[in-house]
Amino acid sequence: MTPAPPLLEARALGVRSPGRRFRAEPVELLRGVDLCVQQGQSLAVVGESGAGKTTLVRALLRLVRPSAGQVLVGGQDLAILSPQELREQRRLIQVVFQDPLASLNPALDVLTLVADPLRPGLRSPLTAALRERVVEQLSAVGLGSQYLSRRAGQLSGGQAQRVAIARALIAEPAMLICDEPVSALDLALRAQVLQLLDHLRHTRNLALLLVTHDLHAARLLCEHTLVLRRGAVVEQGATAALLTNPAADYTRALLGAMLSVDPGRAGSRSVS
Amino acid sequence: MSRSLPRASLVLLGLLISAAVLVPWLSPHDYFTPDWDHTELPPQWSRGHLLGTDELGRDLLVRLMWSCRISLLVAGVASLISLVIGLAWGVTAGYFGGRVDSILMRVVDVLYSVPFTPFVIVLTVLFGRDLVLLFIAIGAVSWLDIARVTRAQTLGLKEREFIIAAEVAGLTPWAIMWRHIVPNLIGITLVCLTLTIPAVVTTEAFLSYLGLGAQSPLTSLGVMLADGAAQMRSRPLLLILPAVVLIALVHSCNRLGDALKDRHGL
Amino acid sequence: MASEPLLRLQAYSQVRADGTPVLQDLSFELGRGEILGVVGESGSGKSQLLLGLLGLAMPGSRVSGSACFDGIELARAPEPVLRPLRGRKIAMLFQDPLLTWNPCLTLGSQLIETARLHLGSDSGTARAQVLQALAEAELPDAGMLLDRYPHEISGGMRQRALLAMSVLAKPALLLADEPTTALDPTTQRRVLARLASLRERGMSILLVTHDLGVVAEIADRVLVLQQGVIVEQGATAQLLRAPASAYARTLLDAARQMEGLPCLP
Repeated sequence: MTPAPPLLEARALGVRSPGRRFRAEPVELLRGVDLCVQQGQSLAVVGESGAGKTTLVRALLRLVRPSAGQVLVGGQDLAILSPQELREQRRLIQVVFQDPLASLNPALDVLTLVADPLRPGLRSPLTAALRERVVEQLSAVGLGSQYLSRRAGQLSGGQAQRVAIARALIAEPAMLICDEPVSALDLALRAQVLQLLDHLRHTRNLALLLVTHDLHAARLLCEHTLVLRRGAVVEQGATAALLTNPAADYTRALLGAMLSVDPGRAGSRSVS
Repeated sequence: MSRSLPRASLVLLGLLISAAVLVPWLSPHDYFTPDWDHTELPPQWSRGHLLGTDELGRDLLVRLMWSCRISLLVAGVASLISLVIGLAWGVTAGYFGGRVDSILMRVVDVLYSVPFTPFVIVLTVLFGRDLVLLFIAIGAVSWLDIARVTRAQTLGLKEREFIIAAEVAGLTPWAIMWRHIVPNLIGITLVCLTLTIPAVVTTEAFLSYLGLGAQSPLTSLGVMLADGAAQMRSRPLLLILPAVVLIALVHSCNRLGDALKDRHGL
Repeated sequence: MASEPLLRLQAYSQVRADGTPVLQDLSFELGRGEILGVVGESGSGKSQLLLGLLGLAMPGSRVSGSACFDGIELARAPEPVLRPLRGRKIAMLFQDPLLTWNPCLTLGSQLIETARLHLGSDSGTARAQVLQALAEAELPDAGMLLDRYPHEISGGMRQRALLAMSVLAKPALLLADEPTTALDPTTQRRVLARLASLRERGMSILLVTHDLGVVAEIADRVLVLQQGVIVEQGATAQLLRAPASAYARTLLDAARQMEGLPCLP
């Protein structure tokens, strides 16, 4: 019996930036990236800014055409799909973006925003049944039905991100890609939202791809971690092992750079 | 920066619009029946001719308000038509980009180059003088500006993260344009409307003055201006009255449009 | 040697034009060569504190109380008093460098203009001063950096260059508003290290942040702000070990949870 194909897979994925000015060479934003996420698994993609994390997300969603390699969803190569098929395939994977207030249309109310993925065509009306589902999703993320008529501008950062999560989950995707989901939020809220994601992941058996530069978040949510540097994979493996005993120097450096509120470790004035 | 709209303009526009709408009920006189016994009267209280009568004995105040009504009707309908066409055109061009954009905007460029007055004259020659013709002619030209503006706005909106989120959610391009882009264009559309209307009113007045628009006994500001100009020497009031109304209408619309423009930071 | 605090606030309050209080009755001191962390969530008024000190509070706001900087009263001070201080004696570092840099000009031209404005140097000297400042900030390829536009370099470099620009005139006081929030860990360390080295040279820093990790790293003392009111202040080490107020405890527990540390007893 052949095992089920991985939910999301990248093989030797490469992305080149378009050379904008005459003199600038096109830069390789991603080089030979291999990754694999099975049904129900969680993978953290860790790296600094400029490492190519956002480019990777865009390539996986096919918002950007790769210059090399393949992206497969459920075993299907995205490159050969028609726009219609691509749209359908996309519903398997939903995204939560970094800045919640930018990813929510400021002209629409929460009800319309969250129901959006369930109304792909022009003629999909907002039925009472849909409204029910929206209320359901909102309560799953801890928001009551009084939020239905609010607009994005009336929400706090934490609330907006919850709305974004509700929207991502309403179409019942098999996988959630979270691009720095908590870095725009206050520290006090981060643990809450991450716990929410963890809880939802387990209750719905979601696969999770967490893109972040925060190793703590990776440790809290993901079983596996992949470290990205300048567009290439430095190392990958089980999160616990990787963080306690990193193989690569770069990973060790990243770990060392994390700040801590532990009175024992904090306030090291000899920072270098 | 004051966030409230200029009150004077709002009041003035409100007055003009109410007059235009309520005129059939406001006066016992109508605008087309000649009254040979009471021609060319100066403004007076008796018989209710507050502004006097014209050379055919028709009440001037009523004719003025009817002119307002017709002018606003033409302006309103033509503007609405041009709004719908322009919005659809501009958003489609802006969202799809590439070849679709090029083709759509080249059409706009070509139509821009068509000289307006000869175009209307040709239409009049072919189809005769008709109010509906006026709607079509004016509407066919005013959508161009709106198309350009909405296209520019769409180009900017397209890159925003919430549009990408909608694409990722699997929405069709048409659903994205209608549900996500258009609601963000309401502000600017309103501004365009308030600026198109005075332009159309002026154009209509111009065409009617040339004899290409509304036909007697139907009256519009342009028609009254033409009649007034012909009798300028003997009865300047006939020219001054419609001129004042035209200026008031155009000016208040423009001021409102500017205030709305400021509000939306355009 | 008795050292007067560089900055002393007493019953400092800010009320918006419509009457909503932004900051209420703040009293604290900042000594020379000291970093004071101001911790609070969004909406706690921490950014308004910094802007208010420079006279940049929202139009129509009413300020009461006293904010004394090096003998000069800042609260309700008129423009002619504040302007010579801005950029020279008191510098401000904002959160998002992309918004602060002019996207149409190269970094070099903006840095040199700042040097000419605040140090009164001519073009030649200004360029040398700028290069030196960038070198001190340990920014690589300083010469090449001058010819770049803001969008051509990474967020981390922009922030570090912005920091270099802010301290060109060697101000006595630096007001930093969430200087490391958008940065990744390695760059964050570098910026914090730079701030620490500025402290070693005698600069005082008022550091506003929501991140207790930042405060734990370089702040000597901490102020905890909740909805415009100071709920706790004291030495950093003390706060991290045993916060006195319930609010500070909640903030600390959330941070500890992120790190996988057990909550405090």
